[in-house]
Amino acid sequence: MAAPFRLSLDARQHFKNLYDNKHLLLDFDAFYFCLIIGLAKCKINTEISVANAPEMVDDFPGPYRNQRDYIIALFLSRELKRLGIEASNKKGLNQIVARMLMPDSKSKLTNEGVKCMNQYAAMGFDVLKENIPNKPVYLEAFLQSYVELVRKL
Amino acid sequence: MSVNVKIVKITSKNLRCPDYVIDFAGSDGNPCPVVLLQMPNGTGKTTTLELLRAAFAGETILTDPYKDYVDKDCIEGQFQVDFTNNSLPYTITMKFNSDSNGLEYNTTRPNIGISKGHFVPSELKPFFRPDFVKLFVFDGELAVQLMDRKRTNANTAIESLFQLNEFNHLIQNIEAYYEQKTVNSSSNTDKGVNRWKNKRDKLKARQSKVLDMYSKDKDLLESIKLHLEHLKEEYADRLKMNSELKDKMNSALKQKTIAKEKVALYRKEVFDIIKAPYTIHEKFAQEILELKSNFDQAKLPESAAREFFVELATNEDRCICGTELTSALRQAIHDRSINYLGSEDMAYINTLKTSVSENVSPIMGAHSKHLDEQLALLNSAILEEQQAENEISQVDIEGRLDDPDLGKVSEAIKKDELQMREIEARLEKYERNDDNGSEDELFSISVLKKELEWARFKVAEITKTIELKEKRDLLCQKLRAARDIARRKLALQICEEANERISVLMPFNDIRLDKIDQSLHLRNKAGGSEGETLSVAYAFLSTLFNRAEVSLPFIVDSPANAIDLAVRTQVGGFVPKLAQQVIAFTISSERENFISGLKKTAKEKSREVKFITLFKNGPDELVKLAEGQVDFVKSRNGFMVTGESFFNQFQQNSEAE
Repeated sequence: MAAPFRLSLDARQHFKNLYDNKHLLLDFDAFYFCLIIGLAKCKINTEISVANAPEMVDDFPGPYRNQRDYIIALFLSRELKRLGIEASNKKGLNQIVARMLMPDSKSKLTNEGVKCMNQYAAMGFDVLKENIPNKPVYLEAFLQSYVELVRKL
Repeated sequence: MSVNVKIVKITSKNLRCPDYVIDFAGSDGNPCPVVLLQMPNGTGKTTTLELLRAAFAGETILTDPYKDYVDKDCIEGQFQVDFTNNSLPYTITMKFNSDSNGLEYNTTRPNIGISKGHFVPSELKPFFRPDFVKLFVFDGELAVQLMDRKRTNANTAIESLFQLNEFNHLIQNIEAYYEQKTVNSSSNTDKGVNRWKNKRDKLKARQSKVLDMYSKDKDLLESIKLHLEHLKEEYADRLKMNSELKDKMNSALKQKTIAKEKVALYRKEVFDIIKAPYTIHEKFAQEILELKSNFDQAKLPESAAREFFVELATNEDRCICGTELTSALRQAIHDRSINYLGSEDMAYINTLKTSVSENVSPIMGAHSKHLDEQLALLNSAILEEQQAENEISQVDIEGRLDDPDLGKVSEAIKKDELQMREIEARLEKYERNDDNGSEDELFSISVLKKELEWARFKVAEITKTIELKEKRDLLCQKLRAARDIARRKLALQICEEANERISVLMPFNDIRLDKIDQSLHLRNKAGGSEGETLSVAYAFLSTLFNRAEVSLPFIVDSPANAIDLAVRTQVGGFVPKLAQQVIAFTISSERENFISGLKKTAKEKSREVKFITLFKNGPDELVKLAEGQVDFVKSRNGFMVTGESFFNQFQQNSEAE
């Protein structure tokens, strides 16, 4: 069975207002916000407790399905950078692909790949809270700050 | 019957008693009900009885060093008992070695065959024990022991024979069941249940309070909303009275509505754009393109898939270049195949590369520029909304100047809106799905419900445990009482019946059983003569074995030797009734009156009697007499003759042993 994406309860709680006023609809929306920040920071947080980070979907849902390949491409690129592997290194590329990708699975990721993404998202939330501590109330206000933060990292 | 033991044969070889094979079969081939085995003193009666007990109950019952049981002219000796239990055959063999002073048991069992060691069927274990075996492999000395509480336990005999141990087994099973049912219970005491009851009650009270608060807040929210609606209507009505202000307000409200719609539109637009990560940051777009480029340069995916190399290594004799594939080459190809992508990986990489080529523009800033444009439009819409808000506030201020009451209405609206937000925040606390704190601090309705259910469950669980404990205690108490009552009543009945038998055996002797507990207690007497003691023992054992559901053979040494002639007839009459199979070791001097009494009862009961005489080498005339018999067997060191005639003629009474 494919591993699911996970996001901490705290992270979900941080975006609660946006869900309450229906600006966000999917659980994956909060995950995606955190994931992109984690990838921008190029760091992971390995201290994810399964108990505190309940399961979400095991695939890229809805509008994210069309963007899956780009999210995965960015993820592979960032992971190569994080591990210090030259992107031109054929062997390194092969190994990253073999470890992280599983075309058979719904998400196209291996369990290790999903786990790694979860760790990027966990780090992303930590960075987000540090930089935008207040819980966002309106998405339109949040989006501007968010894009600025990603570009700053 | 669960226990029905019959001895079929006993065999002795190279032991200190004569070599023999004594077959207890009667004329019908089955074990004979009564066997009289005449062995002069010194022939090995005592040894044979001891070995019989040891065969049933194990070597701990033997009194002498093992080597002493072996004939002094031999190194190894053997004793064997063949018996049946419920017609199933068993054999127990004891091998002695005088050099090593060793004793080895072998047991042959149905469906198992021969095994090293002493194995007793489980249903026989209560009887094939050192203390019990003496009751059915019996000699006169043991009669005295029955009177001595330190050397015997008559109660144990009753418990074993009448299976009162089943009460103890039941009690053990009940205890085990209780342990199994309560192993996960954290508490089985009143203190534990009270703690959970307190928690349950607190949670129940808190739940009730929170639900009440929730209900009241919901009602309050509704009424505030309604009130707010009226206030807004009043505000609008008041504003209408000043047409200029009314128009300004309407225009501002309209502007606000349009701006809100724009905000919603551009918000959605921006949110949709940023779902493609290459749009958020130029750097992301460049990296994705770079990855694709690196795949191209590394010629990934390659035209050869991993499967090709695995197939080559596994199934082909030669490489595509023609080289013969040795096992070393195969292993190397197999190992290196992991450096190549699988065919499905290759397909996906190609898809990914295509997606990137088609959608990610290499033009620097193309995507982020589009995002920035939309963000600008969003910000502009937000500003418009803000401006409309400001316009509304401005109209409000002007309206208040014009109509002071309007200000009051406006203030009331603000107050209601504030209160509404506060209530909504509280409602959010009641409706959330996570909460923590002590029972008094919880607000979440769902968490309170779960906690209360758990506390109720724990109370029920512990209460059940306490109930179970009480049931266990009561049941065990009843079983112990039933066992004790059964034991007492059985002892009483056996005592009464034994006394009836004693009165037949010794009508003129003032000797009767008073009670039976650990030993036999005589009425008004500490003890009796040897004959009296023996008669009492026979009466007790006879009563015991005739009442029980188990059938064990009764093997007795010199049953009538110490008994007066006058009593011997009665004792002889008793013997066939003692058990389903009686084997009596006798000497010639006790034949008088004993045999006649025995034969009379045996005939009345249609029980066959087998007469066997066993003796060591003796005077020539005796040997000649024996050799003249039909059923005569000579062994290395003894003679055995079967038949009543020789039995009655035999007079030897040597004191060799």
